[in-house]
Amino acid sequence: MIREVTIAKQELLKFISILDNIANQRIEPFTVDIRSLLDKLRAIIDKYRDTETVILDAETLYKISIVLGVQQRWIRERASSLFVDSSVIFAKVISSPPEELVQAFLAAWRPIVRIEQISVPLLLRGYEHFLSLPSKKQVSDVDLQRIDISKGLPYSFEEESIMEDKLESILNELQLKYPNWTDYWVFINNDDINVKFERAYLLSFLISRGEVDVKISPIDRKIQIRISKRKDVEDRKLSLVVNLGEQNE
Amino acid sequence: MSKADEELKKLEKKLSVAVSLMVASGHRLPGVRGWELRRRLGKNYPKLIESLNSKLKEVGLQVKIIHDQEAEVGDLDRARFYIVLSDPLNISDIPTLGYSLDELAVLSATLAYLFTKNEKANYKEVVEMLETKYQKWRVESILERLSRKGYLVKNDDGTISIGWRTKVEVDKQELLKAFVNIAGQEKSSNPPDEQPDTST
Repeated sequence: MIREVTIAKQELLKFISILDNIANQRIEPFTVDIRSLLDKLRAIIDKYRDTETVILDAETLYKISIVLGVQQRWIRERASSLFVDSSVIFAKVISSPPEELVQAFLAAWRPIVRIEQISVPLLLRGYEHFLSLPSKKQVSDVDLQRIDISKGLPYSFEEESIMEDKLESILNELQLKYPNWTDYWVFINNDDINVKFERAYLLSFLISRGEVDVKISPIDRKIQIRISKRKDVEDRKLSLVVNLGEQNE
Repeated sequence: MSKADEELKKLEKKLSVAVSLMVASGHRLPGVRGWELRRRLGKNYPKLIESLNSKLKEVGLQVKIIHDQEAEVGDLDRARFYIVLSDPLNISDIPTLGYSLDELAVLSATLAYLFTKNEKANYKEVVEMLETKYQKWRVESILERLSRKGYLVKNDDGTISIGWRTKVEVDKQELLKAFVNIAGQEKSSNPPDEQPDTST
């Protein structure tokens, strides 16, 4: 009995699979005789009324309704294509020169008319929109004027030797005054913002060169520095972003 | 100016707006939706389009309406309106439009085949059919170009189907009738490799 039920279920699954293939247009819609399929379904459902069989039966009926729709669409399509078979077209394509194929196409082809062109009204509308846009804030309020560069440009790049001297001086200060871990902001602090900036700038070189160690507390994000016990030969790959502004004073 | 003249002027203005919308729209696809025409021309736009159509026919053009497949039948607002040529072209006009004879021959054969196969067929089948006329690399390159133009659609499941442009520009029944009426010649004695290249 159980074996019979299993066979019935397998048959229903087979029907569902075939109907799925038809619905996905993998096979012709009239491959299956719907009437005889419905008779078989009736026979199965009359004999076996367990839950799974009933569910499969319902699903099969649903797939049959889809296939009926596919069949209807197929007939409509075939009628609109004058019931011409694809093999006829194949034969015509093989036996006809390209010119005849093109002549056949020209009899049915009405290309779209389209212009891609900018017009004066469109340009005027674009210009009105451009004028209506808010202007960007001025980058600098300082007027352009001549400046005296005989004493050097402001924030000019210094010679390497001068730079090295300054780096040496920062390093010595760190070594002598702050031998242990010290707060970063305390070290670079200065009343003059330019000096503060310069100290931070020089310190960044020393950190990159491995001559100064940095640690950041994960709890309060406090940055501390100290002179390095050993110098790293390779440049450090990590980056530390420090926002130097009025809020850090 | 009399009232009748004013009305006429208004009507002509609306007609020119309709033409510019259909012909010079800035969308990615040509044509214009019905609701856009309604917005510019008013709710009586179908009558205006009819009037426009009769004027366009005098200069060899016509309005073509393609309904949205997902919309209700007769829902013009969701339909797309195009202006197309009303008269057939000559074979000598093809280079002017930027096509070659070979491209149109491939397109013609492909579309006729697809129309008989519910507008969708296996890509390899189509290529095999076209390989009887041209080399495979040329067939594939032309099919690619036609897909980009919108005549065909290459699907991921290995099939090829009709594109949006075919639905607008090509009359299915006329094409199949013309194909059936092709007298055909004996198959050329030259192998495909040695056939003269008719591309422009």
